[in-house]
Amino acid sequence: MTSITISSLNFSLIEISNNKILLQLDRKQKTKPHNIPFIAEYIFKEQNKLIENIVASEDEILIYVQSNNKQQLLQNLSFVKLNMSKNNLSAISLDVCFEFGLDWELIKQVTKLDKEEIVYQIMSCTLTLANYGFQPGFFYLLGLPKTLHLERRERPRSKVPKGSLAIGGKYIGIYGSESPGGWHIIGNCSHQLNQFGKFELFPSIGQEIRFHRMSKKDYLEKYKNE
Amino acid sequence: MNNIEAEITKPGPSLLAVSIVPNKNMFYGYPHGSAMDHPSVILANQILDKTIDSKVLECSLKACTIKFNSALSLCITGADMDWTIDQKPIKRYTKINISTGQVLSGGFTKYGLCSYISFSKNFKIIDRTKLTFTEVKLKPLEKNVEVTELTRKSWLLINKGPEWNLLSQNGKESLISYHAVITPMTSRMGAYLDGESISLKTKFPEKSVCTFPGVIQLLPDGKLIVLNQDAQTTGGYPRVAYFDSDDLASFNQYQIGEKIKWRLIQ
Repeated sequence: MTSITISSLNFSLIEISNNKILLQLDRKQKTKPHNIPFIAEYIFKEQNKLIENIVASEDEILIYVQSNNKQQLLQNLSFVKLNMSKNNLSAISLDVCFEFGLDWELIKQVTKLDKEEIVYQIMSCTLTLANYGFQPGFFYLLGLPKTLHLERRERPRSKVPKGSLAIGGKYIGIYGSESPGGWHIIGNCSHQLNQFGKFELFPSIGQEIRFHRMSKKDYLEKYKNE
Repeated sequence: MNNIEAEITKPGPSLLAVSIVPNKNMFYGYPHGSAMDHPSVILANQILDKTIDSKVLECSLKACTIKFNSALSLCITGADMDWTIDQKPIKRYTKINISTGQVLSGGFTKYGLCSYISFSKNFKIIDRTKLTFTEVKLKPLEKNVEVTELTRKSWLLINKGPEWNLLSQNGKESLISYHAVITPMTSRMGAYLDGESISLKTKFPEKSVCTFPGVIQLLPDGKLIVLNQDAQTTGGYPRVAYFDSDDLASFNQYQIGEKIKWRLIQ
């Protein structure tokens, strides 16, 4: 089998080693950027007996699967029909402090906007969780206006603080833990792995994320013990 | 169930409890996180009649020193670190019985990078300074284990990666048979290689894609990086090639500064 259709989307299928299947969305196929991680999340939760692990990006799903489960899994996936426009989950609100931004000067220079205008645009847009990935608990959020799309830094930072809110390409990202990173840091956010604790409580793909702006003083007071 | 403690008096540069089982939550961005050399882990467990997915200690570059406060058995596989018990050399790839008060130690690696220590009991590392043990039911194997000591492949094998076709013709020809040195920018996340510069025939892709341990990414400076067990789960650099698990295990036994070479599986 070299291709598969899952929930009306066509994927080419590449076998990697004897324990991985890479599903790549056909180039001609158009779909919303979070729909592929949405399918992956379904597989992760509903087909967990047949898979060892799963990773998703905007156009791909990588499945770790035992070779003896491969055929059964592919058969099950071909019957999957998901309503990808439906999301009844309520928005999650996260506190954010833009005074912790480290790259404001560069961002202002590139966008030719002042900081308050950029913050206003971020606070005004509807952001949804497009994917997890990169590092533990990292959120990829979509919905940023094109005026704020930024190329990644030429040289990544060796250490980005936990909870950093950053722009990379068309995404806003939230670092769930400290790590190296090449995105432009615009603030700090209350998303931290210990806030959600169990994986079942993690926001779902497609769920709206809202920001509640706080001053540095209030933010530091509220999160002084974290 | 007895709790027996051992003291880790010198942990060495890197001492971790690992197994061949990956983290279950890669969907949420958690790294694979398994042992760097799976065949050595499996052998260490099999020699002690433990299940192959039991946890072991992974000791990189230099041996740790452990003082045992009770009797048990252990088996060491992987890198040769001149392991000793009470200063007397011991053999790897064999079951060693330890008595109360004895000390396991060793030196810098002479061959390979990672040593694996399996114990006849299950263990936990506490505060990087202690080991606590719990009894476990051992299950002798039906067949004899074929014990092969660590031998790194002189020619590693790579497969074409999903973005192989983005390489320039020269890039493809270079990667078919490639020589490089492992640079100091190397960890459980990835190994940065210094070798012939490789180019793409197109611009670098913008979208992030799925990554996995063993994938070989091309960086904008023309150099290659091999993603390891603790690498990120998605990334933006093109995946021009990848190692299968046995070749990744062999690659991971090379040290910083050592030369590696590979051939493409045609």
